[in-house]
Amino acid sequence: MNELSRYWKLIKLDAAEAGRGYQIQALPPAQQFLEAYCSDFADRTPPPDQVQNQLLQWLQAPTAEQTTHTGSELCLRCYVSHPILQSCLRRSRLFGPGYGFTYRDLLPFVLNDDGKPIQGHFVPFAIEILRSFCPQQSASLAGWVDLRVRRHPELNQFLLERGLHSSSDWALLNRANPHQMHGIDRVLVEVFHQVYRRDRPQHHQQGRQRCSDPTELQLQEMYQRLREQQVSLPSAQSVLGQLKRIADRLRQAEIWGRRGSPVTEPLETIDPETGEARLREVPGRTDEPELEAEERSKLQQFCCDRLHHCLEQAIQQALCERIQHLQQRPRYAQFAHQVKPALQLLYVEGKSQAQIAAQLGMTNQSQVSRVLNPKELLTAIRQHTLERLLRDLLTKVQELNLVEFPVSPAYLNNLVQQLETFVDEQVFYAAVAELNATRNGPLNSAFADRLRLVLHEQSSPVASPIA
Amino acid sequence: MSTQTDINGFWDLQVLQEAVIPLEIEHFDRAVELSQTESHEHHQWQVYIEELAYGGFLTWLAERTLALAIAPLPQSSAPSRDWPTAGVKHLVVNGLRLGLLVTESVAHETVTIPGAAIIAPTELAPHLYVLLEVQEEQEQIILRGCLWCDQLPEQIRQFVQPDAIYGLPLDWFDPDSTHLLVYLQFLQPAAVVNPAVAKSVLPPPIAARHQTLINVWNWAQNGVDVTTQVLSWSLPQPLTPAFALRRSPTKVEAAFQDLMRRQQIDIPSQAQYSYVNLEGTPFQIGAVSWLPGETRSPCEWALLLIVVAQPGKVLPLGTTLQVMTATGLAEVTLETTDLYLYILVAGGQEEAFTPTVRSPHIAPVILPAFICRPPSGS
Repeated sequence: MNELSRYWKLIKLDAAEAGRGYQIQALPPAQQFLEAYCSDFADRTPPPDQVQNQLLQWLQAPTAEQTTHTGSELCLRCYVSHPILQSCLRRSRLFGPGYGFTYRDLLPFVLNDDGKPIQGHFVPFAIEILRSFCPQQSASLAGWVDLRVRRHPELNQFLLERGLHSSSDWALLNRANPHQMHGIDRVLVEVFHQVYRRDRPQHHQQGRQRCSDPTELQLQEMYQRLREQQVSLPSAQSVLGQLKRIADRLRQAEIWGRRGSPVTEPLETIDPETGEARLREVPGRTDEPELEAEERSKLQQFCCDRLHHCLEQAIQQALCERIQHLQQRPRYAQFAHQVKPALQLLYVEGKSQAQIAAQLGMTNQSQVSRVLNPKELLTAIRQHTLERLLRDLLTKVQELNLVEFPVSPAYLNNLVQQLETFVDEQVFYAAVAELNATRNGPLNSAFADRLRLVLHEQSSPVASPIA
Repeated sequence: MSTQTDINGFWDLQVLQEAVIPLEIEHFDRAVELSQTESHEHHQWQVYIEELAYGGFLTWLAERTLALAIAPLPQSSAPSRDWPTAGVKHLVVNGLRLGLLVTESVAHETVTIPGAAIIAPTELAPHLYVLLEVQEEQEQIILRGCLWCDQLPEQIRQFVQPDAIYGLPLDWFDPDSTHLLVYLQFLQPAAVVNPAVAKSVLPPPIAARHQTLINVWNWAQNGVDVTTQVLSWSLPQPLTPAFALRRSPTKVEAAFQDLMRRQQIDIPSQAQYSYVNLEGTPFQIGAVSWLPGETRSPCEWALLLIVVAQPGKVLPLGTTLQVMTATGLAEVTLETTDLYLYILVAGGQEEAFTPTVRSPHIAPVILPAFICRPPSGS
């Protein structure tokens, strides 16, 4: 995306189920305003920094004409929507895994600007951000946006409820680093660690998954150890109160992320790239070789030819692995033979997870998710598809003598990223979307077709062997 | 047939790249057993957490890939007790040496890594660091990403202290678990930068750098100072009145303007300035130097040093700028509200000023000494 187009392309919420949660909309008035400004620069485009400074100046100048004020505000509203999305992506990366939510759940809290003139009392979050931004005090506008998203009360409440709430006070204290604390808090956490961490592995073995409140005995011991370190509290019970107070603070600190005032937030590192599935920029290797255009088109054709074959084999491999894996686990072995029937019910008959569980006689949620878990299966199939394509492709590359072998990490990385984009566009984006969408009846993506084909072949007497 | 909305909640392609690895009873049993063998009660928890990560990661590797040769480091080269790498587990997969960095939280988006793991004897040093977050209570680990040894900033590799702990931004780790699996299957160790080689091409260590001098006399004469050039400082230029008037978009210039306006530091118009981005750090250093007017002793000169963050980076809290002379030391530390650090010094012809920038988690950067000496004979 052209860097300046961020000033006239607005990212707005899109609640459609199968989509990515947002859409990018070009706003002609913003584009015209920006182009009028850029036309003053004759044959060159002004640097983005300069554009932003000028827009901010117009927005904040009390004497600016109304049209200039409105135009610059609209451009900046567009711009701000990009780091808002980035910030949500980062928050979900950090807190989402294992807690079952994604950036889509966060967007409605902060991405509420539709680019239309403000009416009534409702002020979009983007405008709140712009009004509160002070260029003299903050590192950058993108940084300020990220900070405001991090401090958004409702969004944080959501994170607490969905994610961190599932950590008990005692788990939070267990993983706290006393060296990042001062005074009595530091001593308290050190003593807590000495006692609680020592006993925790055994408690877990006795079947207590959740970290339970410290026992009276543990509290007494902490109380004694604190006294030895000249920390006197009225009673063992007050140790408990103090620990809960620290846990509360830790929970807040985890939500807020990095400590410090706006100045010290390493926020400018956010490069507001959007419109692409890639979520964060990993530092590039300096010598990353680019594929030549001709080379690329040759390889693309090759991938198109091989994709469906590789996908089919990947499905066979992943099914086989899943079944084998369950067979090896005493707790799940009895369900191994139900993997294929469960997938039949999901992909052929379009049944819900609850219906599948009932029909196959499973009672326990972890059994259902272990046996059916379409996410894990899709992950494995995507992985194997990539690996198979990559293996074929590397052979091809070697045949064509395109690159020196063995290949470098940089070359491999580049190749994998292009392959990922390719297979996701061709297969997996749709496969994920249809699982999320409200549906009635069987699934019908290219992936679902292939999976049904494999299931059908494997249920017939002459099953095809895994390649 | 009923209508339904989801299976296991909403998820998207991003989720396919994440690896959330469930921990099973056998992982816990093994971790408890091994932690009990650790004689220091203080270290038992660490061993317990590391073993959970190790066990879970191995299971995940075995589940996700069929043919990987996985081995611990060979016994003969296993780290000895006097090679302290707490928090790092070692593993060889298909010939690639992995250093597993184990943490219990990444909420602060910083990953700590012991210096000893970076300067480990080269036949042990990991090619690839893998970051694992253990959520003991949730009975799961999360694979947070991987980082190649040669992606560690040069400044860290060059000045690393074995007993120090370094903080790396979480962003540096590639969070896509697919990439890790592909590396492990398709890369041959011969094609990967060996940590030993990565070190040997680094610039000379601190002691050698001490020998270089930046002679600001040359700046004042509009001449080019060779050291300045070699070390990629910008071409020295005058601080003209125009400079003082325009609102500068670059931070180092903005800082100079702020000093002139708000701190009332009087920088004469003949002053020359130059700056440099210190690679592998967030720092940009600006230096302004001038020779005072006729009335003062001709051998006196002044040097104003400023530390700001490079574009796109931020100065860490606690960053310190030091200037050392043969007889003394000046030092300032970044407080919450500062945008930059500065020190102004003045000296005679024989004096040299050696600036050092220190920051928590970043190896100290010692700059070449600044001098102001006319060429001999003038």
